[in-house]
Amino acid sequence: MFWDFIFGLNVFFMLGSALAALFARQAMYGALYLVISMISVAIIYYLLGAPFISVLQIMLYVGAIAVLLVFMITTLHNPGWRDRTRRIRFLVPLVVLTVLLVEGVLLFTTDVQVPVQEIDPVGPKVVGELLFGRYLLLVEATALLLLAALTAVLHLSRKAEEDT
Amino acid sequence: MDYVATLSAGGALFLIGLAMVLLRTELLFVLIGIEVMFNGAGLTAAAAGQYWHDATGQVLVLFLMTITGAELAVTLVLVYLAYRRLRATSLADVATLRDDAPPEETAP
Repeated sequence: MFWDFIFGLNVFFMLGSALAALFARQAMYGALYLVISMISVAIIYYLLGAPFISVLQIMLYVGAIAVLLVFMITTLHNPGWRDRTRRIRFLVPLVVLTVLLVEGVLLFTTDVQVPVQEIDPVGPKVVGELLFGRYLLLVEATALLLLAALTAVLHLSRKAEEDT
Repeated sequence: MDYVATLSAGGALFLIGLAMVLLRTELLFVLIGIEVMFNGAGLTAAAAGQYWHDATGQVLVLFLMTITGAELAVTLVLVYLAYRRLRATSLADVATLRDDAPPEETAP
């Protein structure tokens, strides 16, 4: 029952922050709400019984993709950055992030799987066996795709440097 | 933790991302909307995989994350190039496809 409440709260946070990103004025607010939505999705993954992709969601999306996005937002010139009078708007994401942090601590300190009887967790071992067994060719193809993306980014950024 | 609730939440997240791609005109918000859409699709895949108690859904989410990373890196460089060359931050500024268009024509 308690974890059902946590689940509903996370769905609310996820959809609400996605809607806030939809109506955000500044790109930085949009990125911040995107981060909140991603963390909520990670907690939902964990509650569904998929801890491996839950951790990977934090590491890849929040750790890499969101940082990339924020870095690009700060690099691009942002003309309308003078919205300093309404400081209340800073507090809403802060409160939501604090609640998410408390939820994360609760998840990893208490035994979540006991009250969730209908969920069977699928651990990292099964996923890893599937990844390097049946889907090995796809993993290689993904590695090739990442290499191609890396080469494309290097080429395009070199071209951007030549223009200046 | 109903699977139907999770599936509908993933669908709603996908719809919000789609609305962001279609309604917002800034390039960065379009990228954020694509990320939200990827999140919704991943949530749906993970919920379906857990419903059948199969790890294939998680494998799909894993590939989705990797492809998102590759896609975002390339598109962010493209956004950066569009800003450096055309001074464009919104979709209306990059409406031209001509490669030799001078920046004076396309600047707002």
